[in-house]
Amino acid sequence: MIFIHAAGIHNTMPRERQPDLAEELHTLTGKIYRRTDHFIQLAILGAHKAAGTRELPAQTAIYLTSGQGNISVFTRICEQRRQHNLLPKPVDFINLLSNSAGFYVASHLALDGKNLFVTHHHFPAQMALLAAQNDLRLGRQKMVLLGGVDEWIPRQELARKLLGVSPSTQLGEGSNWLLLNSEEKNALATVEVHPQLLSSSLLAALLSYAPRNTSLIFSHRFDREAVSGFMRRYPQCRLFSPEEDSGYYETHPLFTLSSFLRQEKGRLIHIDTDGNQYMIVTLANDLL
Amino acid sequence: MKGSCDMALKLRLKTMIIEECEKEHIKPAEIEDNVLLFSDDSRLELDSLDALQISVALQNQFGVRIPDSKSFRRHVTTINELADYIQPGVQ
Repeated sequence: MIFIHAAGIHNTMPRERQPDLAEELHTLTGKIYRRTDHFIQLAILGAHKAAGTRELPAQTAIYLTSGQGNISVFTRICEQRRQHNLLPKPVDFINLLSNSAGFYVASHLALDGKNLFVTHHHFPAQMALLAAQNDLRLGRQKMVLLGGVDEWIPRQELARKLLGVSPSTQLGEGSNWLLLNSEEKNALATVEVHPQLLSSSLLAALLSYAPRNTSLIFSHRFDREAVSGFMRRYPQCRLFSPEEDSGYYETHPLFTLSSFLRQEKGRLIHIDTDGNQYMIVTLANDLL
Repeated sequence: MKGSCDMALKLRLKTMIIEECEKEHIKPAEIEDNVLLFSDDSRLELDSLDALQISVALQNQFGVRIPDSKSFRRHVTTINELADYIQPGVQ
């Protein structure tokens, strides 16, 4: 079990264009970040909100994850090369490197600990949490600032195709961060990632023993019918619904966990699926 | 027309540098034609990564390829020098 000490939510559902974050970032931090793009600005914004007014220990590790990474710059570079035969801008090229956003977050918060970028085909947020959980439990890290960053791009058809979601899916963007620690003192909640994928029968067993009033939330990969089916089968559980609207993005589970922390007291089970098996994260903030 | 006499070209170069190096707080008119771009006297405060950005932008926007850092230092000194390099012409 590991402990959440702070959370930062930045979640939006753009309609036509990416919001201009440079101004928001400047207002919030008082700094101008030259050579940053939307993805990096998103990362700094979310991390800044999670850190709040705290001065984090310099050795705090950064574990950053994303479903699609810096997709707007990636598509721009591909088009420049393949369609227009232009050289990529050096800054774009540098910012595409997987951990450039992590570098800017570390620089903003004056951290010089481990800086890790976690990627996974189906469960990027959960795998980053699992990596943090393992490292904190084993004493490899004392504190981890973990963030999931996904950006919205105007080319919605392309984004939906890359994400493998239906044409009607409303997409969003977010930068959601948790400050994790192995120590309980002053913690807001506990969080635990089940390290193995569960079959449907194992999931059924877990849910049938869930205490009364346990909140459940299902990832966007479940359709409404599937969610209704689960809720009928486990009437002792209630469905959690974040107050803030959000569109789909792959690191959305971190938004859900942070929203629960903000809204509720109790126990939450976050359920995600790759279509065959289930990935579980539990959060509890009523026992501390 | 020689580049250094072509006001439109020089404005285009200044605008390009401002955009590529994200120096939007500086107006093109504030960049003097004969001040060294990479010097303490320049308001632009450019560094080596800015040089790389400018080099690629020159290739993409003007079709001018600067093969190495030595050539860059020789031709991208001031706005006038750069304009003449792009558009040698005759005065």
